Amino acid sequence: MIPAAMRSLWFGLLAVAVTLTGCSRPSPRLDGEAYRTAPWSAELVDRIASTPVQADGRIKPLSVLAAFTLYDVHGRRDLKYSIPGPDGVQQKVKLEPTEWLLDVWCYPRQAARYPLFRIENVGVMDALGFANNGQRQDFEYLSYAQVFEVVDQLQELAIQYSRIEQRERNAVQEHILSLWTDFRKYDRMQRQLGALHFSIPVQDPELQKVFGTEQVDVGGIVANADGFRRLLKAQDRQMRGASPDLLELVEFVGKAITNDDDGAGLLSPTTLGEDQWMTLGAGLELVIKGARGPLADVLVSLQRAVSEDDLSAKESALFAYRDASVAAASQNTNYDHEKVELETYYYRAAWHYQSIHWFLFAFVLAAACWLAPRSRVLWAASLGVTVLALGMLSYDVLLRCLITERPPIKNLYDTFLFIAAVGVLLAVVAEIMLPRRIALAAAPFMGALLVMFARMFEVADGSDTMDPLVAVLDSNFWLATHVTTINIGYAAGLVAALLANVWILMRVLRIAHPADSAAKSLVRMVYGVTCFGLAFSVVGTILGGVWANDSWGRFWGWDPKENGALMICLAQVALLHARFSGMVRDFGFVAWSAVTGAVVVFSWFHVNLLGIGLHSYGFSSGLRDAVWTSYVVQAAFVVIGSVDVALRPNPARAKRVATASPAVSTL
Amino acid sequence: MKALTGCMLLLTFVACGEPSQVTFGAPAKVSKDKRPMVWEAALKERLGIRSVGPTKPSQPAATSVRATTPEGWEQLPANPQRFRNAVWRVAGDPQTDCYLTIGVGGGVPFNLQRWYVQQFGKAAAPAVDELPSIDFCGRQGRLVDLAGTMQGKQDWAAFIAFYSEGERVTSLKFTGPHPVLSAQRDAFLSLAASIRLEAGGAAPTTRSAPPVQPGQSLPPNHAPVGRPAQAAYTAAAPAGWVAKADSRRLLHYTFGANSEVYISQLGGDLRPMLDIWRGELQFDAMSDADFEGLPGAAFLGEDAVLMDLAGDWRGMTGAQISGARLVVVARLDGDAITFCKMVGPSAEVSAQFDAFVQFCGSVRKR
Amino acid sequence: MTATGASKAKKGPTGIGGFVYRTLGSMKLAVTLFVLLGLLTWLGTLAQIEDGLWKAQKEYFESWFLIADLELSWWGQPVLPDEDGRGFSLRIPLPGAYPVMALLFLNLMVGGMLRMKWRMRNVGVLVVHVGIALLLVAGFVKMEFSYSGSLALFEAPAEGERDTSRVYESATFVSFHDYELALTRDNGDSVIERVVPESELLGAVGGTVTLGAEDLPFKVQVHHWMERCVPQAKGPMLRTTAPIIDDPAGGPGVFLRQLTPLPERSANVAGAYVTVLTAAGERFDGIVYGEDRRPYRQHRYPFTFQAGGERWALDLRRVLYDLPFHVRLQRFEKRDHPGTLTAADYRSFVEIPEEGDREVQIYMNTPLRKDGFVMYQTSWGPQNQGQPSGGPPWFSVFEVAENPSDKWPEYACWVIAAGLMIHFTLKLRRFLGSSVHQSLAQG
Repeated sequence: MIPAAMRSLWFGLLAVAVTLTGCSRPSPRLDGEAYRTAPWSAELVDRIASTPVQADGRIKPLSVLAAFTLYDVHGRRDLKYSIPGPDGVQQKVKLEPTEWLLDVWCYPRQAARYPLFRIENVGVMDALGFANNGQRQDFEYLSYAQVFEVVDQLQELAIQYSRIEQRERNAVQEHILSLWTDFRKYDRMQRQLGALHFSIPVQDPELQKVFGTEQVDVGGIVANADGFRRLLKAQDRQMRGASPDLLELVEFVGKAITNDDDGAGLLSPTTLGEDQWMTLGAGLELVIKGARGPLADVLVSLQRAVSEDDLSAKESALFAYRDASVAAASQNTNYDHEKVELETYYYRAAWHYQSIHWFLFAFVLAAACWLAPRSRVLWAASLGVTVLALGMLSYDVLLRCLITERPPIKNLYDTFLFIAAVGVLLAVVAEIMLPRRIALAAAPFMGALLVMFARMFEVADGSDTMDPLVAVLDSNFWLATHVTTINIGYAAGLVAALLANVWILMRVLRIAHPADSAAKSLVRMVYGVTCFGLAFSVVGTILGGVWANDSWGRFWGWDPKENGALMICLAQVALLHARFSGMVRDFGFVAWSAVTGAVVVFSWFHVNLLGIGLHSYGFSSGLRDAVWTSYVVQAAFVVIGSVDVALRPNPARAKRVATASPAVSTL
Repeated sequence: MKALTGCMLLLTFVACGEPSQVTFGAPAKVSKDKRPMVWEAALKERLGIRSVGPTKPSQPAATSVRATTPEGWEQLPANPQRFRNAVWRVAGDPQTDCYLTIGVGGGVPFNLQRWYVQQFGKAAAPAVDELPSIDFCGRQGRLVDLAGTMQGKQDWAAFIAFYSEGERVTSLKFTGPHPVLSAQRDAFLSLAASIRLEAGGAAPTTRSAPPVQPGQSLPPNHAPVGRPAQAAYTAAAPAGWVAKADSRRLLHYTFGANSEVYISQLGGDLRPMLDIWRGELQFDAMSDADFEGLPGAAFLGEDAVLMDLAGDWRGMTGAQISGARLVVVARLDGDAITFCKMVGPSAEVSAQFDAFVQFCGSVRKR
Repeated sequence: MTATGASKAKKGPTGIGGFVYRTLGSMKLAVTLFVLLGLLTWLGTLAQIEDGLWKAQKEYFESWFLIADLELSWWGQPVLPDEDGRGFSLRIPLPGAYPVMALLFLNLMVGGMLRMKWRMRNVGVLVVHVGIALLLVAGFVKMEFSYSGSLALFEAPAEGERDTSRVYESATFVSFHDYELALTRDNGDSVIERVVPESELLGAVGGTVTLGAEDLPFKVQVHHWMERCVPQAKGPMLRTTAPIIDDPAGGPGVFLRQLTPLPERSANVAGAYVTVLTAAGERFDGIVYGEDRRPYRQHRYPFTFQAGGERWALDLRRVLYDLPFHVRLQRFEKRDHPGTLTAADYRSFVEIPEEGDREVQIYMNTPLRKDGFVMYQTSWGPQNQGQPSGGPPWFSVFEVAENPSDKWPEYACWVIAAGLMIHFTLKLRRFLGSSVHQSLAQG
């Protein structure tokens, strides 16, 4: 009977796995021909990843810019489509973010047809006038080219909807607004090298002499900047008497200079002490004014990367772009290439992602432990693998600290990794103190779950998780003390809730009797973890007040995030007092702990969704489902547990249970 | 229990806490430095009423401006209501226009932007420091020297002498055909140098600066907030107007090839909103006189203002109609502006003007 | 650790006094109060969505009793929405935070300190309770004796180039929310000022409040009080039920147009009508308007009148607090993250003339503490622009607070941290050494 319960658990997990993998669907087809005939070489993709660019206020690798842009506009980590192969059979193609960015820059006409913008609401298709092609999927992808067809309508709707207060908007309106934002983001990225795709025919012999060609492009202007400048100087201010070709060229240069002025910085500043990078247009302007050196090399190699027809020629130009870009940046004293390389390595290695696999493996070992309870080897193996995975996760967090030169938590994303690490550590310590093989399974479970959430959040949020901080958070002292402490408190609250749910599950499924030592041990663990959590929650909350007193001028302001922290403290302190005074017994105690877990979720990120208060700098609408799911699951546990307690207030200790299986007796 | 008692105590306190007469607090002597006050301010200055003022000129006319008119120029009557505190031109040349504007708001960057970008279509305005210094109104001013196409007039040019005090910019602007201006450059500079503003009331510093409060950072009334009212409106639509399906407006009709009429609601104040609509046809903001002079119309069973403009229209959404006419009837309801707007090619709109006014008169809240 | 501790504590005085003493000190009361406070906090947080912080704070956290309004939602969407899209609301009567906190303090004193066994094993808990008590006292002191407001200063240009209307230096700051009506008599080089707080004028919302004093030759009636309003000229297209005040300078009269108050209370500008009735039988009607134009205007523009041969002024203003020193803004600096409009850092360089020309920097997380006052960098203006050369100068906005318990929470924090550390360490050691642990660990 009990192994049956165990088995049902296994089947449940399997079902989830099947559902998760089962929702894959055929990749959308790419209409029309592909201009890029072969994939980008792995060597190029690898090398160009660490090209420095400046976006969102910091210098980062090109691959990171590509990745977070793709996450934001596409909502996935890669882009898939299918295209007819040479034999006419559809071939699947999968693009990594960097490959996608290279396509957007070098093959914009192909990239414009990629299935990019994810539409999850039929109402959006209707509003934009797309025919409802009887889609059975609950989402659809639109390409840039498709959206471009209806961009006027999209813009008009977006402007209208932006006037509606956020809380009053419906799903379609929100979706239209985010599509508009995504569209513009893509457009901005595409325009970065947009000017390089044009050339101006010149018949004026004087111009032909200067440029040595009849087709002048940005690269040609850069390469012959001196001659061009002399030509311009010879004109009067109104350019009276200038040839039509020259006038057209000047107009083209003007457009090229301003075309991308809202884009990311591709070119490092040439003056010492300057920290704002230049767009291609700004760089072009500087070169025409007389700048030389790596700056011009970057522009010329980018021009080649765009205008060469042959893929391998494009690639060699991109290699040159990367090296020239690093060389140009390295002349600047503010630039640290080591750090860009480190960040590139960080994302390539993805230690937190690796840790998920090891956590899952450890969980399987822990589950095996239940079937073979006497095996010290399995126990030690599971614990060892968990610690190994914890090591990977901690190394990941450490790398983030080194790259950002900040304490571990700076934004909501960081809290996932940090809380996962602390939670696993707490559960491991609990298992070592009371080796009942429960915390042994809870530790890797929690680790894997939270890191997976982190990865989902990273994509759903779509903004670089290492972006610089707003001024009020710019304090490593407070980030290291208040923020860290309070998040340790969150982690403890979650571990306590997780263990409490295991207790309820064991009672409901009759895996263990409340009087069994396994159940008693669990209560002890929950108690210990809650005490630990309370200490950190209280100190963290008060430290937060002390910080607020120094930055906003008041210790306590009933701000939602502050209130959330207070609620955790109150829930935990009430729990301990209720326990101490005998108001609650074991079930009341664990049920209360479980509810405290929901309070932690409320404080951790639900308040950020409320859209009010001083602390809502980590806003993300994609979190709503996760929050509500956790509430519902938590409520279900407590309700089912309560019903069970009401129906069977004093379950008889079934002898079978005690003797049927050694696995159960130790549980 | 305790809470209940406390509550009742509180209620009792509130109930008998409304005395018929309140005594002023104890007198305290404070130095005037600590309590700076203007004792003799005019009512509207005191209350910071800037926009909807009396129709009398807010600046004394030419009497407060002294200047030496250059040889070969003539002085014309001033029109302070149009911000033309003194006006000259090259004698007998109606294409030239030179006028002095005292203390208009907006600050230097905004005005430079207006001159360079809006009027002459330049890519950007230069920084103030890059402009040459000149002598203007007896102090150091700057000179703007622009040539090119000015609002459709080719080979046009402008000289603008200006100085600023805070947000207030005083300028002398001279426009006309490029060759004429080039020949008159010295005359213009001598005029600029000769101007003296008498302290008789024209001193720009005494005008009230915009009362911006700390934290009040959003551009006023620019981004309308608030949801449209839920209540529907009824109206008698004229023949030929077609109700537009799936519109988000309160009422929405189209007619002709490219004209539409719709009723909508926006948050904000009336006059800035009217100015935004003016901006859609490249009109500058209204003067007080313009605003006071707007004709009335019936709308929603009450009084409303009517604004009628013609020109090249470019809507907020990027839609464009050249040779357009825009008629809007608007009124303020609490915090929101309810308006009925008709826009389209001039010929189509003109044909429907009377129908539109009648339609507005028929609109009622359901 | 469960019921034994509670049962041992049952000794003490008997009779009704004993009952009250035991009830006040009981742990069950403590648990009830924690839950109530938690509930209040939660509901008060949710109430902020609709009502804004100020109103929710007054209703939930600065009150004796309230009926909480919990709008039900599911997955972020309202449940059973009404016409306005608001979900079905539960109305829950609750004691406000005042009685809960007060009882909690008593409970802490009686149960957590007096009735507690003063033993080694409880030393950690006792220390924690002392810390919490200190925290509550700090909160009470702050509530009773602290006040705060804002101070905005323009960057001071060189001596000869200053605009006399602007505020570059100040020794006063103004309340964020509260108003006062000041009656001022011109007294040559000084003024004689009498103040009535806003709370005394609430009757003027729908009625009339009459103000006076024995030695004044007039009475002042305040009426048509509006929490948020704007003065407007009576144009031909505007209708109003509010009285029109004629403009002696000509042109249309002026009235106060009532606006819907905003949830963010500091954004509301109040106004009222005043009628002065002198002993000589004269009558003056006017408007007082609470707009604060600092730092653009340092002057107030009160309603003025002559009575008893003297010049008087009535001014509705944000409550004005005096500082014992002057502050002058020498320079404001703002640095953005490169290529963005997000401020990486902004700071003010101020001078205090009383201290010579010592320059002090005030920036995020680093306030200026002086003479019991604390000055924080909060904002700046004009917003939405960098500082182009020749552009308008910056002004800087500070919050100024006077709080006797400024540093107490910090001390409480260390006390509580120490207490918790001691307590849980002792507990863990006892548990690990106990037979319970041995039996549980071995299964």
